[in-house]
Amino acid sequence: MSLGGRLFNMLATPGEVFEDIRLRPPSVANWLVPALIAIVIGWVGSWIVFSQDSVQHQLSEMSEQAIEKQIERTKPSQEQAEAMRAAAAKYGAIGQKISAMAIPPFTALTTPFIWGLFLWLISKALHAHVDYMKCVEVVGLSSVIGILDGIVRTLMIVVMGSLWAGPHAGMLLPNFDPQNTVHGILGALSVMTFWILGVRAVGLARLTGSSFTKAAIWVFGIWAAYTGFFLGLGAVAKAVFSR
Amino acid sequence: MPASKKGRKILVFSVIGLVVAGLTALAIFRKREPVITVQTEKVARRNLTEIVVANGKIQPVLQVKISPEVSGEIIELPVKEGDTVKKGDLILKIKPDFYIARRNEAEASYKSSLAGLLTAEANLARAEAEFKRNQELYERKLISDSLYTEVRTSYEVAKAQVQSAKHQVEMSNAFLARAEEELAKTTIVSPLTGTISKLNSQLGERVVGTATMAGTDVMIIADLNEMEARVDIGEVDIVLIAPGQKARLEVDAFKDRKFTGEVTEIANSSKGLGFSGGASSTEATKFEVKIRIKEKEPFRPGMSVTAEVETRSRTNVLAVPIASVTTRVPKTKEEKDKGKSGEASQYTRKKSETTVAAKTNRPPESTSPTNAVASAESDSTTNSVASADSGTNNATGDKKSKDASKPIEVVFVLEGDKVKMVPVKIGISDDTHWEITEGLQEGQEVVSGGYRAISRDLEDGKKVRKGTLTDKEKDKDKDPDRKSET
Repeated sequence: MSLGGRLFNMLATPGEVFEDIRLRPPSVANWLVPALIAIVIGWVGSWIVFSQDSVQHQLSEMSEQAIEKQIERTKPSQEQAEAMRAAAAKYGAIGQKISAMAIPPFTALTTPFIWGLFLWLISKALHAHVDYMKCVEVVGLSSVIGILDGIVRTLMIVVMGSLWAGPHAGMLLPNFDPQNTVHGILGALSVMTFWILGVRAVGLARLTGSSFTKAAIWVFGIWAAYTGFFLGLGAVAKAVFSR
Repeated sequence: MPASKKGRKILVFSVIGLVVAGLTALAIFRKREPVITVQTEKVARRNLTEIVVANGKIQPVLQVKISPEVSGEIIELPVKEGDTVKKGDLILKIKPDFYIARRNEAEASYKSSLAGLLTAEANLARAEAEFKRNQELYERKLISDSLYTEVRTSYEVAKAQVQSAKHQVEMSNAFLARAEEELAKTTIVSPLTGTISKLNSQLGERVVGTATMAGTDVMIIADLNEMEARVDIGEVDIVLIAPGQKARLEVDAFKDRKFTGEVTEIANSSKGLGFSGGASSTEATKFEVKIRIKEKEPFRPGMSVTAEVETRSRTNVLAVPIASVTTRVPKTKEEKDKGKSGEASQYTRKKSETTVAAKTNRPPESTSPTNAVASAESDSTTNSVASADSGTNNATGDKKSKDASKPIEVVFVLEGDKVKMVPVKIGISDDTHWEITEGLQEGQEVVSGGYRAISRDLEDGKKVRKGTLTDKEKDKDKDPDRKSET
């Protein structure tokens, strides 16, 4: 199967693709090419999203709320408050640009290795001998679905004019608030995320020879654990700073 | 490839293709404008009381500075600061030795003048007898004219000497009285019942005193049962103050309590307006207002106080939150025509200076920088800061365009998912609300937050959505009486 074939077939018949890579020697292209595509899509998507007036407005509202909270807490003079607002506006814009440039390559290049490690450790727990780079290839190929997620998310943000738009359960709420813990949990329940995790479970099952169910329990369990950890960390940080 | 797999691939790619194509079409063809998050409140009837806030000090109503009328060393000072004295109590004694000597001297002079008068009267009697005797002789032509004239002159001189002696006695008597009075002034008694609020001199100090000018301020006696707050009010707000108005007072030393008072006196001239020609132009112009405090508390002169004077009130009037009212500059006809293709709004924002509003929250032109105790919300009332749209800025020129470019007060009324900009006329305001005299009806929903949306982003016809309150706004909702800080 060619590389292009592998990438397209990931969307429809991932089992076939993983069976193919199980039998082949490790190939860097299997994780590097999807990562590069993901980086390009990420940059293009960021450019489109941040060029939307509605998104810019939303970001400035968020920044203004945060700075007003800060002003209310510290009670500075009028001149100091104005200086804080001006600094927030200036450095907020710079921060946006930096994050838009830096986050896609960071995510695309680190995710295969981190999740690859998780899958390799799970394979050990399942008493299977699997090469670490094979696990990296599985994660790398599954990021094709992440690319599709990026495209869909970008289009939904443009259509709905909200930075929080996406194919997740949070869209059922009338006023999604990312700072709300419950809303955050719903926001994490994304169709695309479950699809990616399912595909990784398929890949793990094929590489280890175990059942899909077992592999899925492990994969979804790890995702739930670290998602829960970061959501909890956010809630604790919010509670600490609001005091 | 098995047919099922091929079919599945076709299905999956078709679904993905449809979803992406549909979203792309929506993204391209659907016009999206920013939806501004706002908070709203309904126009309701309220009782409003306009308040002017001022800072000052507590002072006694009646306060007397004690300064001696004679100079000397203090030999008795039976009081100390904080003592209560009754009217007539001894409070100060100055060394009387000098004045005793002066009194004795005057007395001796008086006695001497009395003796002089007796001598003059005796001389007069002798001269009179001599004159009468010689007059008879003169009539019988037994003495010469010159002798008669001499005797007569002696008689006249004697009479004059008696007069002179009498005047000398009067003068000596007056000096004696003055000396006695000065001696009496070395003992000072309290002119009123009160408390020694300040003691400037100590036993043994020399003090200066004159009858015509104030001498050394030895002490101040005050009646601490009647206290008043003397506050400074700016020139813009002073016109709203009248005697008899009620006031609420907060004394820094009694943080948990509020006191009541009544305005009793308003200064006619501003503070610092002396004979030299007036206060420096850089200083704010303030007028002193006296507010009698009704409660009897252990206030001490000089305590800091903040007074809220209730100037005007309205009952059952239409009111909106202060944050809801902002200003916009109406476009001129030319600008409307020029901007017809773009903006639907007939108003524009004009870059103007942000000023801290007075408590009375007058429109920007009349805000005073002096009496500046404004809430955070009140900033937005007069704040019309916006980035000026160069295409719609008023052209300088004739008076008509200048009049048209004068900012007017507006509120944004929620109509469905859009806002409509409505010009309003405002009346008085209190801490939280403006009275609306024209432009709105009861029950209409007006935009009351956020700050940036009202002051900058909102225009007529803009799309909005109701958002959540910030913590500050939530706190304000829970406690509407809570004052916002400047």
